[in-house]
Amino acid sequence: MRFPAYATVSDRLFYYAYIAVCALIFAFLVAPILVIIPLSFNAEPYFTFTEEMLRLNPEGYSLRWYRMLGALGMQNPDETGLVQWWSDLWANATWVDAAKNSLIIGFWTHCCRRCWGRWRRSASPGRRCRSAGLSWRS
Amino acid sequence: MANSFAFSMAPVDVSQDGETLRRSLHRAQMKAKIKALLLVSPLLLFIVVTFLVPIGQLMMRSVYHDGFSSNAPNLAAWFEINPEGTAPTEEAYTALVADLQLMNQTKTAGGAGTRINYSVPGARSLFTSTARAAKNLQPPFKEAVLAHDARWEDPLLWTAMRNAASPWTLDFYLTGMDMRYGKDGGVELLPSGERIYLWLYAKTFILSGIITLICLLLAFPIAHLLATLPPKTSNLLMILVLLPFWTSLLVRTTSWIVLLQGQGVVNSLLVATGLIDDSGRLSMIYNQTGTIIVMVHILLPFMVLPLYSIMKVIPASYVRAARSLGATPWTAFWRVYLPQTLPGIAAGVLLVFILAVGYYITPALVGGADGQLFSNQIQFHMSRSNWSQAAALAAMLLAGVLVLYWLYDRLIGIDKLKLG
Repeated sequence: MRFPAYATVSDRLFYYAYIAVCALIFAFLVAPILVIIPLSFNAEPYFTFTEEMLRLNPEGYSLRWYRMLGALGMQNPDETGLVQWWSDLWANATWVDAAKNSLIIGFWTHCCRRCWGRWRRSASPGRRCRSAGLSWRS
Repeated sequence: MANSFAFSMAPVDVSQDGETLRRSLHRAQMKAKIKALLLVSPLLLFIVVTFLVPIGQLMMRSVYHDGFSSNAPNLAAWFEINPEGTAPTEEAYTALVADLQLMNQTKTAGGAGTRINYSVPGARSLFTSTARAAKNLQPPFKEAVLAHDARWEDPLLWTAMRNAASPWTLDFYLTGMDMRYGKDGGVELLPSGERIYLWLYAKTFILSGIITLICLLLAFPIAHLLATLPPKTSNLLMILVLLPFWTSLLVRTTSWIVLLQGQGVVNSLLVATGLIDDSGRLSMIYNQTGTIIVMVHILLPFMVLPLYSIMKVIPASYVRAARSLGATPWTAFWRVYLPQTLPGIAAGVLLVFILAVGYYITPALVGGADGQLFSNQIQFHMSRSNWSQAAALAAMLLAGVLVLYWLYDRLIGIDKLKLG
């Protein structure tokens, strides 16, 4: 940060304090998301960080839950035939089901939004509104 | 000569096919409007079907319950003839027994008893047991019924039945306001130990206010930072705001449990650094504190985004000009910068507050006993199939929000609001 020549010491101190406060608030915003990622590699069925995990012992980490989730709902997850395994995954896996739902709902929501926007535009050619990550016309 | 006269008399704005221009313009406009309407009609239908109809049904359910009235025609007739305050006579008991026999045949004693049970606890079992015995009762019915179960004498029960004899009722709103019918037929508040809803209602609005205030205090500095930093840095930091916004609400709520629980990350860090004793671990989750922390985290992006979009367009030269004219940093902020951000503050506060008032999942997961909000009571009644009570509570919540919205409009003006 380059301060202008007239900035006093208290101006500079205030600026650094302000940056520190902002950093804390950003930490508050992302902390839960950062915490949940390492915890997902937990080898134990507990909702806390185990001793092994804190000591960075590889024993404490595993892909157990990812494997479980990937195969959840499948008729025969140990199937060796590749075609059968994939068709089983596509037809029965819970997460594939959920993903399909999300895609279908997302698609139709998007279509409705576009129709609505088109109607609003044709009814009144208003100004364009913008907001971070979101934009719409009013 | 005659020919030219006729020409000058003809209307000037004739189009080729002999129509006036105005009419053809009007028709073209109508066509465009109908086209636009047809294009949007699926969505309008969707809104009507998914918003207006359910909300209308909800309002209806909160004042209409025919569980008792449709199954007790004889009692309804007796209540019709005899004014309020009449002690139940032999005729009333005759009507009661006739209705109970009817209920026993149609197997509706449970439903009718449930309706009375909302006002008089224990009435459901009374109805079902007496309905089973009704066909064996002999006149005089008053003695027979009272011999079967003396609770039928209770004047509160008869008041409740009189109120339920019409399907239109305000009973559910009375319950929602911690009131009941007294012995004299009037309305009275419940004894202070049995009141649930009034305090919870107030607490919901107070907690939402606190959460909104904390959100504003946290969002203001980072929105300002995002709006003043060069785009390269601010876009990067914006991801930190949008990342939680895009992450599932359940994921965020459960990860707060990991952070805040007794053996959680925050407590372990505090113990490890020696700030607190191992025995003095803070309880920050499954109580009101947990609700506030997690809800602030979840609603913070809703405050940052409108604030940011307003701050982005405030020229930095205003504050610089104020400073160069001799204003202290505080005066320049308070008198020059803050008033310009008001539309963003207004939008963010309204958005966060209204979202917070109706919040349900987060308090249910991390609220424990004292961190529950009004919506959790609505859910409780829905899970017990008491739809009318749930609808009445929901309508109360809606009314509270509408009153605040009206106040907001009077005090600040809804036209000041700017979402983007």
